[in-house]
Amino acid sequence: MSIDPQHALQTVSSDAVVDNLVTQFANSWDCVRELVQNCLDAGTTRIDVWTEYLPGDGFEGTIALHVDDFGDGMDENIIDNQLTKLFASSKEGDLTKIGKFGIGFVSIFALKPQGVLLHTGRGGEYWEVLFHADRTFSKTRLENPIEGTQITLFLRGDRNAYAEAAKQVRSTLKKWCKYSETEIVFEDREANTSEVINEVFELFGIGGALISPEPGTEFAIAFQDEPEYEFFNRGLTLATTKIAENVLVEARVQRYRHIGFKVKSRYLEHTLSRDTVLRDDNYQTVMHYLDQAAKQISSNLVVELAALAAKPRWTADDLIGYGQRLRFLATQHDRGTSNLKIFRGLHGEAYSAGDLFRAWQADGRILMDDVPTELSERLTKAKIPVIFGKPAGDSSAFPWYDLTEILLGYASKHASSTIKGAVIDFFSSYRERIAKGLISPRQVYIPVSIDAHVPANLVTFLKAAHYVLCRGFETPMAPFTTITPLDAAPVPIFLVQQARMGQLKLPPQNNSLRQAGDIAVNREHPHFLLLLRLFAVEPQIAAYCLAKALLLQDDRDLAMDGALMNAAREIQ
Amino acid sequence: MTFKSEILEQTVTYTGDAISVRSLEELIGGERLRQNEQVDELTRMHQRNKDLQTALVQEMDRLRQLSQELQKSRQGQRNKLADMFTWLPFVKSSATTRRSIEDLLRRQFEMSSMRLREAADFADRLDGAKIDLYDEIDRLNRKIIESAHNEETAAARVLALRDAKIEVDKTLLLEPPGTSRERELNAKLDRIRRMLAEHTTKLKLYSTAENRLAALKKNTRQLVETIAHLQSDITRYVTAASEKLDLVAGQIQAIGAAADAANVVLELKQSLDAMTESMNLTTQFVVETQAYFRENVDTMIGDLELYDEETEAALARNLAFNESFDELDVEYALTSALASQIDALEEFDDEVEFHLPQEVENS
Amino acid sequence: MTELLPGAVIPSRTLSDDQADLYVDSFRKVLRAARLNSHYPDGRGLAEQAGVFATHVHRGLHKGLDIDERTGLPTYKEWTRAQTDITLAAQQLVQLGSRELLVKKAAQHPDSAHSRNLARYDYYTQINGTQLVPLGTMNVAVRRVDRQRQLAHFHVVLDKLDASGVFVRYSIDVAQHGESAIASVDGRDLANQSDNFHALIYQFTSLDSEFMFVKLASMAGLEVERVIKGTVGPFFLDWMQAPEGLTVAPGGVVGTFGLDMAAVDVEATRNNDPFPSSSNDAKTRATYVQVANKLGYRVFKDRKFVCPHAMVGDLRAFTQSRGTKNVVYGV
Repeated sequence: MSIDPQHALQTVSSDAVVDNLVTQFANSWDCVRELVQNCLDAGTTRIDVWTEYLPGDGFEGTIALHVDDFGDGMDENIIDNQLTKLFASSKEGDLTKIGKFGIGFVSIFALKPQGVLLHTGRGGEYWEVLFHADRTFSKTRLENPIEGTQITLFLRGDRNAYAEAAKQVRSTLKKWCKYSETEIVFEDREANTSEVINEVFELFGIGGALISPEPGTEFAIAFQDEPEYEFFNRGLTLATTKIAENVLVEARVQRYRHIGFKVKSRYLEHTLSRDTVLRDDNYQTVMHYLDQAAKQISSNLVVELAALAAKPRWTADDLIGYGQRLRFLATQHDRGTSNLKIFRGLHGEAYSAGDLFRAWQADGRILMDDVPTELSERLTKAKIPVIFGKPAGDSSAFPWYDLTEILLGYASKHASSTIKGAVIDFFSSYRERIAKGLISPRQVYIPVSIDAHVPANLVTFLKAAHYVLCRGFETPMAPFTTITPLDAAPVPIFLVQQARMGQLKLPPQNNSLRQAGDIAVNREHPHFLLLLRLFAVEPQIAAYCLAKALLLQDDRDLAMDGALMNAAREIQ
Repeated sequence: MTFKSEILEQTVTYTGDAISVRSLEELIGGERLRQNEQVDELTRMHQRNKDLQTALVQEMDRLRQLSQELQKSRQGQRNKLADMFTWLPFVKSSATTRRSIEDLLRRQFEMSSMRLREAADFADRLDGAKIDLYDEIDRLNRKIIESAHNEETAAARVLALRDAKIEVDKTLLLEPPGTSRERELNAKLDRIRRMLAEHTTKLKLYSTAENRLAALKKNTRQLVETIAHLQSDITRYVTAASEKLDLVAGQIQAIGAAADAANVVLELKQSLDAMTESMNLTTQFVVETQAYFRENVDTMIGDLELYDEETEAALARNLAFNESFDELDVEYALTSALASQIDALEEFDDEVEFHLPQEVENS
Repeated sequence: MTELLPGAVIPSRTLSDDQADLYVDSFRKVLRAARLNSHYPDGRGLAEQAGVFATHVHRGLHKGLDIDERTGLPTYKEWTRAQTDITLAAQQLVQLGSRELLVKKAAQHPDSAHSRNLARYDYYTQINGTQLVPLGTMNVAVRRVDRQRQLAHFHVVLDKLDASGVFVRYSIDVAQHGESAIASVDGRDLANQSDNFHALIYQFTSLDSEFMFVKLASMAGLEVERVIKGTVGPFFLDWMQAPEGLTVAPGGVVGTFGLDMAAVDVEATRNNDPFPSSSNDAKTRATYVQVANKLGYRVFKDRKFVCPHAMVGDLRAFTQSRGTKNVVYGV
């Protein structure tokens, strides 16, 4: 071993800013990450980090922290001109390296080591460099070969301090390096424990996927309730947060409220202070890929929903999974754009958003129930969708909200393909109307007894009212029929008979009564009974009132009131 | 006096599951399904075989062309060597290609190895299919024997019932109408008719089952023969081709090792010839077996379709038969049962004892 | 079988299944202990793929293991076989159908195609997804692009099972002016490797880094920074002809890992490889020296060893006798 006389004692980067720089990290143990980063850039395929305690004469001893790699190593030139000089990194702008600023090694002085011993070799030169507490160093050329670089930090401390140091080193590695593409082994030689720090790069959640749009960029992405956003370069953590605003531009914040991701990319860089990811052109490239990945898992979600909807029998897990997926889909801006049949009918059928939207357009309702009934079965057979779920109003309503959102998505896509702009306003009212239309068939289809013939005492009255209405509307209508409620529950004065069903339902919510089917009158309705009594004395007024009642329920423009009155006057 | 009609009190047992139109339908349906699956599998194999053949033929052509162009190149003639490797997925365009010949040769070798591995695995799958089909034949044989046995039982039963019927008919002629005896005999006659219907149906069903199963067996045997041919050929050729390819593997490394460019070309040419030869062997087998396979599979599928219709018709007849009690074709069933018994008599004179009913002989 | 080209077939020895298992075990341990960095072929991948050669993995579906007698490594044919099987695994699994059925059939017919197919199913399941060792592929990564100067810096890596029977990784740092030799740089700085460049490097992998450096430097528009050739092999087994002065203990395996670099940032030309490199005649040597001076590169050659613990001392003595000091790891 010989001391190189020319470099007997030098100082690490004489610049006064060193003090500021070495203490810039939130946690001084973060320097371990910097060392790991240097190892990775040196091309090692394995990093051994280990700690040992060297007892001293008294109460305190020495804590030794070792970081060994088997990468490129350094020669004298590199030691003098890059390792110990700030901002002298040759890696600046090099997309194949993580380090950028040339401050990594210097950061170890934040731990205020008593000394740092470095062994390294390159190109047939082997060196031992000893750094002192005041950052001066001496170099010695070695005879025996050394592979890579081995760094040892010596810190003063007792056994408690040692235990704390070992804990800090491990947690630093776990925090910053767990997805390193190079194996990192941490060994606490006092506790005699050894573990591989690396973890599998994956993300748990709904519709999770690993997506690699190009070599060197990889996403682990999934739908999550409380998503986390994590950025890595070659597996080293650049930023990790649950606050979307910290790492995403405003336009993306909403979209990623329910999508968590981890992204590893050689395009990503940290800022000088290592606390967030640099938003440069390369970052934009990654964001572009991120949007594609999100789109992909969104369509995966639809495919999964369709598969679930088509499954003959559901387990409890299926039910939960279906609800979760639907909920996540509802948060996506491309919700409702798929033609896949993702909604489960009560009797094994499945429906697309388009199917339901058309049903809603026809009737202002989408029937939904959580248990199959004879009624739902008959409706299904009559090609009227009854989907699985709990309609609004129920405290555990599921999944009417999501369904509304998805249908809105469909509606806006559907409409934007025809009339843009002005229609947007119109849709704000859609939300409420669609939500209101999600209803149980039991609330729509009412158990009544349909009279085979209109009772004789009502014939004249109903004929009169029918005449008034037809004249008023100036369109022919089928004669009224009459019904009696079967339950104690109140039944409205008018119902609509659907020819195929043989069962009466509440009038539709969006179309005219007259177009919906044949009108049936509840002959036990108090208002009807009242009008019937009136008819005996004032037939014209009674007929007018009944027609008007229908009109009122139809929520129509009442401008034709006059026409009705004139028609009523014609009654003899 | 004792009546033949005492037979009414005797039980008769058939082996296997109870037979009915429905169960026969299920049995034949199940068997047909199995066979359809086998034919489907064979069709898939057929397709796989075709795919392999296409790939191998293509590669052989390429190697042959390559070999020719290399020869031209060596002799200083104009050649299209530059255009040669454009079929490889990793070569973008002929204009810019100046790939290392060693590289290309190795890629070609790796591709050929892949084809051969597929073919070798395929051969073992065929072998497995062959074993399955032999098992299938065994199983069908057992079922056929069972049906034949039951058919005999049913025939014997029908004959006995018929005798009993004749006996009762005759007795009835002697009874004055309206007596309790006469009513008793009529009731007995009804029971005999009913049982006759029952066992005649069974007789027909077992006979149908036996015939259908035999037809199935014939098809299965045809399948197994086809597969056996295919399998033994593919194994033979794959073995031969692998040996050649093994030899080429060593040569490719040797070519790379040779520093002299002229030598590289020379060795390359020889390696290519060897590789062409190996491809030749594999292709030859495919061509040979392909024709055989195609003919047989197509015929077998045709047979199956025909057979399906036949079975359906038989089942429909049986069903109608079962439904209309009065239209029982007892005579026909008996005739055929008798005919087979007589055949059996003639054939096994010494072993089978057959007694005609006493009364019939006397009358 | 006739030899196609007399004397040209690679000398190889077939290990029995038992020997192959021992070999695979040693091979993987040696690679693990070698601590290969990114200048060497992918040690972990090699170890993983070599696992395919173990009898308990291939379940007797293959017989023996051919070892190249020049290098002590499995032959090209064997690596291709492993690669073929790994590549086809997923597809073949589909073809084989359900394992449950295969188990049932194999139980009914032991020692038949069914039991072979079951073994094959398990084999493919086990190796499916195994990392593939590149037998001849090149990757180009852009390091940085200086658009003003029309200069693109690339890091090129070519992995190959060389014709000499050893695994080679060539890592080249090179800058390209304009859109010439290596790759075009598209809008997102993705490197599209050029076929010609690939062919060029591929053909010369048997030669040393200095030759490659000079060859590349002679091409218009290229500025070469460094060329590093890392090799895995040769391995010396007890039955092989070892270099003079080196005796391999019975059952032992000595792995050697060469590093040969020609670069402008190498401080001084040194040769720390105890094995002789391809010798050039005096005239060629002199030309190289001239060229090196002109181009400003220096050459460093090194080799590290992995051997059984008991042999470490002997190996050190061997390298010393050759005038070199090498890293020796014991297993």
